[in-house]
Amino acid sequence: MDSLFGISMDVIMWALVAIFAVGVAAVGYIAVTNRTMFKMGLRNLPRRGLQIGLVVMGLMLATLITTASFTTGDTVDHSITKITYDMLQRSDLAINFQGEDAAESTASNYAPESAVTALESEFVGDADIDGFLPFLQEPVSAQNPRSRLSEPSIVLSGVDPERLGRLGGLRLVGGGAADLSLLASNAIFLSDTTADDLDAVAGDTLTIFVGTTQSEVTVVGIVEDEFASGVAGGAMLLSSVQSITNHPGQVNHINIALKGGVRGSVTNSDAVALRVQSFVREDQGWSLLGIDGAEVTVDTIKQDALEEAQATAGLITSFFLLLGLFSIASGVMLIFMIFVMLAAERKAEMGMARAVGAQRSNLVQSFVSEGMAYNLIAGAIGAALGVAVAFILVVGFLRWSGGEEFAFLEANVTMRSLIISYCLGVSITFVTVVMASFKVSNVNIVSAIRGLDDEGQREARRKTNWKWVAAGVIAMIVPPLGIWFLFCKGFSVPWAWILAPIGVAIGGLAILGAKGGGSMSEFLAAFGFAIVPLSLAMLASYYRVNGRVLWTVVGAYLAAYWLLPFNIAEEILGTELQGDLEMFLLAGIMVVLSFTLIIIFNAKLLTTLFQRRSGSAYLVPSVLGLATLACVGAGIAFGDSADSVGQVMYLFAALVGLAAATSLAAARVPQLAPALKMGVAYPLANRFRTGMTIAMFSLIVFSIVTFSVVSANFNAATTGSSGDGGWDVVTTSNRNNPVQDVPQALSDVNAEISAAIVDTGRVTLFIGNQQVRRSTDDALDWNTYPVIAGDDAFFAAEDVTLDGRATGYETDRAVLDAVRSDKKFALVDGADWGPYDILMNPNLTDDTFEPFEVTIKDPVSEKSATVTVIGVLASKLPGEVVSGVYVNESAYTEVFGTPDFLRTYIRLDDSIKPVDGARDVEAALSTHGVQAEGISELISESAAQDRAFNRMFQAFMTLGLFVGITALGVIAFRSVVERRQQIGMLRAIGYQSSTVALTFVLESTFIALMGILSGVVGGVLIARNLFTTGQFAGEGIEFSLPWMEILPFTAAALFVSLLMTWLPSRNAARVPVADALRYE
Amino acid sequence: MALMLERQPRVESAPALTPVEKATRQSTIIELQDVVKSYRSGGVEVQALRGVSLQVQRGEMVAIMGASGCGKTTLLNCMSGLDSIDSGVVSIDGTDIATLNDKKKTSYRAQNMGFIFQTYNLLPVLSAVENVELPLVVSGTNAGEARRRALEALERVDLAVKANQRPAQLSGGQRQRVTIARSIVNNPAIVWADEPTGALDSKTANDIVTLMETLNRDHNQTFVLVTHDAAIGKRCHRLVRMSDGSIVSEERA
Repeated sequence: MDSLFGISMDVIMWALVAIFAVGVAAVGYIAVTNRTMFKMGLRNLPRRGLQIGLVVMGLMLATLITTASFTTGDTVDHSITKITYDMLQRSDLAINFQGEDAAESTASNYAPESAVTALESEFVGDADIDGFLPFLQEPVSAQNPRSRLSEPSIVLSGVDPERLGRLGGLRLVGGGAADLSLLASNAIFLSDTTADDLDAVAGDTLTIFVGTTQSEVTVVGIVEDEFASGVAGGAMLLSSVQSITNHPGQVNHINIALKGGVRGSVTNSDAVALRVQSFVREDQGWSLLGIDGAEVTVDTIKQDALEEAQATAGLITSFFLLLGLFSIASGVMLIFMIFVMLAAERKAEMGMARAVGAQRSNLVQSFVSEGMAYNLIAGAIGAALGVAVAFILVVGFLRWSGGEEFAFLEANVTMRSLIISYCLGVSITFVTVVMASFKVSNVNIVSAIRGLDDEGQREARRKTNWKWVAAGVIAMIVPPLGIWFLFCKGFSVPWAWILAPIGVAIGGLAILGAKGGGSMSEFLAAFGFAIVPLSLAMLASYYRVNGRVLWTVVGAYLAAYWLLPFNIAEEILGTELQGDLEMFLLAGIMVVLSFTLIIIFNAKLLTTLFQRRSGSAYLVPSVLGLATLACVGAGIAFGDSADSVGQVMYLFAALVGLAAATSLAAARVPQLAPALKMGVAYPLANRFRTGMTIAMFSLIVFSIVTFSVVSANFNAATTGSSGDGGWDVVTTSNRNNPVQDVPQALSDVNAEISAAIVDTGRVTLFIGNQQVRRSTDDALDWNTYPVIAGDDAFFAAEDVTLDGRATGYETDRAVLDAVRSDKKFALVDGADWGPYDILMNPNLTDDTFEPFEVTIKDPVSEKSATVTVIGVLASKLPGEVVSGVYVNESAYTEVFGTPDFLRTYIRLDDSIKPVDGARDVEAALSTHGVQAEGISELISESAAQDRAFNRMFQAFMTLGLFVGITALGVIAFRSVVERRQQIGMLRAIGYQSSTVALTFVLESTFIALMGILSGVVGGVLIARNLFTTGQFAGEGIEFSLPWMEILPFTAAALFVSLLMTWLPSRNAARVPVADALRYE
Repeated sequence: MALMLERQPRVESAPALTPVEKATRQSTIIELQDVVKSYRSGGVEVQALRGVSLQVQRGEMVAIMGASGCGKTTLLNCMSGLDSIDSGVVSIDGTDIATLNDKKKTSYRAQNMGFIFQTYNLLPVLSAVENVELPLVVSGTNAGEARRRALEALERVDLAVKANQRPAQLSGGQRQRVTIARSIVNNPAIVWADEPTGALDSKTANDIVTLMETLNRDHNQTFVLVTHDAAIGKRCHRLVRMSDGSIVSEERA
C-alpha cells in the first residue's frame, strides 16, 4: 500500500516520525533542563501497582486501533499481490481480442497460432520483452472413473512446452518444476483445485467430454493453480487442446512475459503495452491476429492486478481508520480522564509543589514526562496487540467465517506500517497528555493543600497584559494560538466569551455554506445547527443559568434534530441537502452528546424509582410494569406498519421494563436500596468524569448498533424466500457443450429428476462485448454490461416479481407480458452497486419510476436497438448471475443474433429439496458440462460472505468498547482509593461489606448501562430514519431490528464492564474498617 | 496494666431519677476484659493495647485521653467492633462482639451504635439530610420514614434549615452537627466519637460538646469520646487516661 487518502505513505511516515521526534525531544529537553520535575514524573510510575495496567491499556488503544487498521491493509495488499504473482507468474501483459471485459466473457475469439511467431519476429529485439506465451483455454467436462467423481466445467489450458518452459514452466504442488517433456498428446498436468475436485492423482486416466465426443487423458502430475494450468483445470499440449476442442491451429490468449522475472517485471508494463498495442492495431497486426473488426488492446494484467491490490488495501485501511475514529475519539477522552484522575490523586502534592515555588509549567513538565513514559510503553504494546488483533480478525475470523472465498488471505505487516501506527498512536496520546497536563496543572494552591473543592471559585478578572497582547497579534498566524494569547492571556477575556462567538460565527458560516448546496451541504448544515446552540449555552452557563435546565434543553434540541424522522435543516433552509459517510460520524457524536447531557443532568430522577416510599413499595414498579405492557401493546398494534414504529415501541418497552425490574428489585430487596442510592449519587456527583465515560460507551455502542441494524436489514433484504422468482435451481452450460433444452437433456438420459420439474425458463449468458448506455445522452460512454434474452417461459413464470415498474402499468404481470410480447421493452435487474445502479440510477420512488430508454449494441457488428425500461426485476441472486438488461428473444436476435440459452431456471415440485434437485441435475448431465446450483444456496452463500465482512467490521468496532470498559476500571480503582475513608464510615454505620461492593458494582453498572442504552436507542433511531426517510428510503427494504444481535451484544458489553469492576469492588468490600478511618 | 473501674453514678447535671430508673440506667453496657491488640507497622510489631479492661455504664459519658499513638483510637475501634482483637473479651450490652462474624457485627453496629469522626466523614455527594438518613436506609426503613426521622435528628442538632445543603456548603461545626445527627438518628445505645472537636475552633468545639452532653442527658445515650482536649475530658462523667497501650488512670467528674 503506497498511499492513504491520496497521500504517499512515505510522506505520512516521515511526517509522523517528525511529530514523534518533537515529542521525545520535548521530554528530553525537560529531562536535561529540569531534572527534578522529570524525576518527579517518572517516579510516580511505580506508585500505582495494578492501576498501571489500566493506564497503559487506556493509552495504548489509539495505537492498537491504528495498527490494526494498517495491518489489515498490509494483509490484504500482501495477499492479493501474492495471489497475483502466483496466478500470473510470467504473464505480464495480455493481448486482448476478447472484448473490453474479457475476464467476464464466456464467449471467445480466436487467433491463429502463427500470430505468436509473427509477434516474436516483430519484437525480437525488444529490450523489455522476454517472450510470448500462447494459450488455448476451453471449458470442458471431466470425469475420473477411478474416483467416480466428475466436474461439469474445468478449463483445459493448451500450452506450448518450449515457450512455457523457457518462461518458468509449471510448478509442482509440493515444490519443484514440472517436467514439461512428460506432456505427450494425451497427458495432462492437473491443477491442484481440479485434482482435489476429482480426487485425481498422477497416473489416473480422466475422461474429457466436449459435445458428443469423449477423450481420455492421463494425469502426469499435479501442479499449482495458475493461469497456465487453467487455474481450475489442467495444462495439456496446445495441439492436444486444439484437437479435443476442435480449434485446430488456434489460440485464444497471447500473453507477454517481460524481463525481470515474476516479481520484478511490471516497471515498464505501460510502455511495452503501448508499443505492442500500436503494432497489433495496425493492419498488419490485425491480419496477424485474424480478427476482423474486433477491438484489440494490450492489457497490463499484472500491473493492473497489483494496483488493484494497492487500491483495495488502501480502501480497507481507510475504512478501518474511519470506523476506528469513534474508538480513537473515545480513547482520547479516556486518556484525558486518566490524567485528570491522576492529578486529582496528587492534588495535595501539586499544591505543595506550587506553594514552595514550582511554576505551573513545572507541573506540566512533570505530567508530560510521566505521560510520555507511559506512552512509549503503551504504544509498543498497542502496536503488538494491533498486529495480533488484525491477524485474528482478518486472517482468522474472516477465513473461519467466510470460508473458501477468503482462503487466500495471509497475515502480513510492513515495518512502514508499524512505524506509522506507533508514531500516530504515540503522537495522538502525547498531544492529549499535553492538553490534559495544562488543564490539571491549573490548581488553586490553598484548596489543593487543604483538600477542598475548587467548586465555586472563579478566577478574578485580571488586568490587560500587553506582552501577551503583542504576542497574540504576532501569533495570529496560527489563529487558535493567536486567539488564546490575545484574548485569554492578553485581555483576560473568559473562555466562554472567546469560544461562544467563534462557535456562533463558524456555525453561521456553515449554515450559509450549506444553503449554497454541494456534496457536503448536509454536514455543514447539521454542524452549524448544532454548534450555534452549544456555543450560546456555553455563554449562558458562564452566567450561571441553571445548568440542569440549560443543558437539558440543549440535549433535547440536539436529540430532536438528529432523531426526528425528517431533516430539520432542509425544512428551515428549504433546500435539499447532500451528505455522505461523514454524516455517520457527526450523527454519532451529536446523538451521543445529546443523550449524555440529558442523562447526567437528569439521572437523579432515576433514584426516585428505587426509593421505598411509605405504604406503597410496589407502586412505582407497578406503574412502570403497566407502562411496559402499554409499550408492548402499542408495538403489537403497530406491527410492521407505520414506518416500523412498532419496532421502536418494543425498544421502549425493553427500556421501561428494565426500569420496572430494577424498581421491583429495590422494593423486594431492602438492602438494594442504599446501594442503588449511592450507585447513582456518586457518578452524578462528578458529571465530567461520568459524562465522558457514558459518552465513550455510547459512541461505540451507537456505531456498532447502527452498523448492525443497517447490515442486518440489507442482509434480510438479500436473503429469504422472496426474490428468487419462484425458481429453485439454475443451470449453466458451457459453450463447448451447449445444452439448450435442459428438461429434454435430462429426459434423454432418463434422469429421475425430470419428473420433479414443474417449469423452466431460459436466458442467455452474459457475452462480454455487449454494450449499453442511456439513450438520452449521446455523450455518455458505452458500458460493457449484459444484455440477456429471456424466452417466453421465463417472462411468463407466475412467481417472477418486480421491485419497481414504470408508471402506466398497474401490475407486475402487465410489465412482464409487455416485455415478453414487445421487443421495444426491457427489464433491468435490481442488484445493488452493479453498473446499472451506478450509471443509470433508476431513482425508484414508491416502487414506480418514469420509463427510460437505453440503447443496446453489439460493438463488433455495430448493430444496435433502443428499448424502453419498464420494470426492475426483483432478485436476491448474486449480481454475476442475475445482472443485466432483459429483453425478449426477438429484440436480442435483431442485435446479437440467435441467442444461446445457456442458463436455465428450473422450478421443482415439493417432492425434492432444491439443493438435492441441483445435485441430481448436475449428476445426470455431468458429461454435458452442466453446472446446477440451488438458488436458495446461491443466495445464502452470497449473504454469508457479506455477513462475514460485516461481522469483521463489527468485531473491529467492538475494540472501542475496551476504551469504555477500561475507563470504568480506572474509575472504579480510583474511587476505592479516593473513598477509602468513606467506605470505612459506611461500614462503621452498618453497611455490610457486600453492600459496599454492590455500591461500587452499581456505580459502574449505572455508567455502563446508561452508555449502552443511549447508544442502542440512538443507533436504532438513526438507522430507522435511514430506512424510513433517509438515504436508504428508496431501497424498498422493510425495516426491522435484529434483536438477536443487539441483545446478546449489549448483555456481553455490560457483563465485561462489570467484570472489570469486580476486582476494585471486591477490594472496596475488603477495606479494613479501622484502617480506613484513620486520618493521622 | 489493667484497671478495673467500678460503676459510677450519673453526672451532677443529670435530672433526678427514680430508683427504678436509676437501677435500669446504671447497668454495664460496655465491658472489656484483658483486651490485647497488636499490629504490624513497617515490619515492626506494635502492641497497641496491652490487656485493657474497662467497664462503661449505660448513659455514661466517658472520655479517653492520652498522647498520640497511645492506643486510644485503637481502643475505641476495638470496643465498637470496627477492629478485631487478639485476645480478651469485648462485651456490649451482654454481647461478646468479638465472637460475631463480620455480617452480624455490622448489623449490630447499625442497630446499636452511632459514630462521630474528627473529619466528619460525610458523603460529599449527598445532602445533609441524605447523609443523616443513611443508617436508616441501610437498616431497611422506608424512604418516607427515614426522611422524617433524619429531619428530626437534624432538628435536635439545630440544623434543620441546612437539611438540603451538601457538606461542602457547610462550616466545620455544621458538618460535625450533621455527623452527630447521623450518629443518633437510629437512636443507638452507644455513640462513639473519635476526636469530635479536633478540627474545630474552641467556640465551635464547646458548642459541639454541649450538644453531646444534652443528647447524653436527654436520651440516656452512652458516649465514649477520644480526645486530646483536657477541657472536654473534664466535662465528661469519667476521664480515662492511656499511655503505651494501657489505661493508666481515671478521673471522675
